[in-house]
Amino acid sequence: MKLGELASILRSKNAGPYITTCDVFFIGRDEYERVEGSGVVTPQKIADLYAITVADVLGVHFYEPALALKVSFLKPVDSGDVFSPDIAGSSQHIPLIDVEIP
Amino acid sequence: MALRVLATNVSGYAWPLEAWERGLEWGPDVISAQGTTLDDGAYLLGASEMYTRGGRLGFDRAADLVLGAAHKLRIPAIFSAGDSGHDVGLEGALRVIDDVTRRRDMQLRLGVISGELSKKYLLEKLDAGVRMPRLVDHPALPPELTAEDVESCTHIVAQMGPEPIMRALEGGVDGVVTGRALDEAVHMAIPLMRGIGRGLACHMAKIAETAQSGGTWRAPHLIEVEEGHFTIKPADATTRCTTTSVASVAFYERPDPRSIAYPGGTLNLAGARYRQVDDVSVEVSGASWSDAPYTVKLEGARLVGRRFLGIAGVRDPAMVAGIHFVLEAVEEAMAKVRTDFAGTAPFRHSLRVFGLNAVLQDAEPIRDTLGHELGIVVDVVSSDEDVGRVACYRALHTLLMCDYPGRKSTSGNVAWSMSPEVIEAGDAYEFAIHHLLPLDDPLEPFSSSTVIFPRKGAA
Repeated sequence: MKLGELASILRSKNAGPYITTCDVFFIGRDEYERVEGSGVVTPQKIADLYAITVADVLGVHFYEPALALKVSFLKPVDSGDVFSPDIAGSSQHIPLIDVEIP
Repeated sequence: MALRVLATNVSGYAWPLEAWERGLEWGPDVISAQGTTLDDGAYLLGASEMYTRGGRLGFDRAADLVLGAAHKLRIPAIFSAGDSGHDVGLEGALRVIDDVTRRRDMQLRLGVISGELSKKYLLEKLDAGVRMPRLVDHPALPPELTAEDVESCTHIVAQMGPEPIMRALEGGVDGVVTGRALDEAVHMAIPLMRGIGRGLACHMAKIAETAQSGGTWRAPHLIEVEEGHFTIKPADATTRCTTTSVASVAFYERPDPRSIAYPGGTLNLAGARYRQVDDVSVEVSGASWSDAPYTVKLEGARLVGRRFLGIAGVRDPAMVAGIHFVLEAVEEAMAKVRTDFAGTAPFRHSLRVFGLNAVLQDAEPIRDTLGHELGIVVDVVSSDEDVGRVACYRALHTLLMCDYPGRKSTSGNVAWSMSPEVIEAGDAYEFAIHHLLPLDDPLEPFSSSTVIFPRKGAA
């Protein structure tokens, strides 16, 4: 299944003008555990998805109290740049939707 | 005794009026609201404008409801205001408060706290050897703040913590209006004064500020704070708080779900607990606070140049298929501008191709467009208006007339839908400062005064 199919909320936003943070809230505990257990979502996977270096991936956090996954990374173009493509960072979760989870 | 906080947002969003009235009937002890942001980019902070975002009318509506209610219920209203929260924006907010108080025929004594820092203040800090590291290790930011960075900015603000607000409240005022403030600071001040622990107060404030501006929620929210926990529910009868919705806002816009850095410490959320107490309410507890040296976040923006935009619609199937050739032709045209007008000011340009990769750019997984129509936004910034204008025009003209494989439309490739086709889009700014200022005294950089509204002579 795809990550997007296992999530009830899948979103992104700035964590300040230099960091994008994506939040995934799973439909339930089964979906949360399936994704965490799959080991698919790693810093390297995020780097590949977003065409950035693994050093720019600041964190891949599974957070059990909210049955959530949070992924944060440095913006290739920051929100203060005159040509920022997504100033609030609200459309940067898209590459996560189709991540295949076994 | 429990403290009742009616938390909302004064950024000019629309709230359902029925929800607001339910919130007031609930009997709040304080109304607190966020009204400053950096989410809209550098223009808000860089430009010396009183009103950006929702403008004067948007803030007027929010201020009228908040101040009118606070006056009627005889409870304090605490909010940040002024879009980016620089002094020009704050003055814009104060003018609206003049209007509101005059219109309602009421007098209010408010603490007014500036969030803007003078260059002189920061230069003296640098001279004294104070080191101000960047908040994020991003290559666009200098590792430490320099005098040159300070000098380059049009406005520099700092996110004040709750302390300046608490000091103003101690002076016996009807409320407090701040410029740039930490969003949480406006919600934390009264709970801290009532002796609520910093971890609980900060966790409550984090949820209060986000609940108003993000997620699927709508302002306002009702939060009852007691020793050891707080309970939150929406004022809007058509929505509900759930454990997931509340937990999710706790780490909205923050990089790490387990800890959040604040002035003077860290909020630890690893032990946070969320319990559904009825259909619409969630009880929250378990956060803790660890003290750390006190710092405030500095934000500064500087002018880059004048922005010129052009919009072109692409509908010809051959051009959609050959868009990469077209984009190369525009790059060649931009290089030619640089040689034709060598010796003039530099310019920067960007072509955003909606329908191809405008939003995700290099992260776009779909390499070739799937659509039948593309929208191209030509964006040029230069310190020299003539250079910016000619570059933007040539980019647009290249889109109109350039060749690509299979082209048959020799009288023009694209549709322009604006006249003039080169749109002057005002000044363009960039962030130059996103650094931490260490402080021994959390009040030090923030000038505060007590002001009676409507102000004398205000028109």
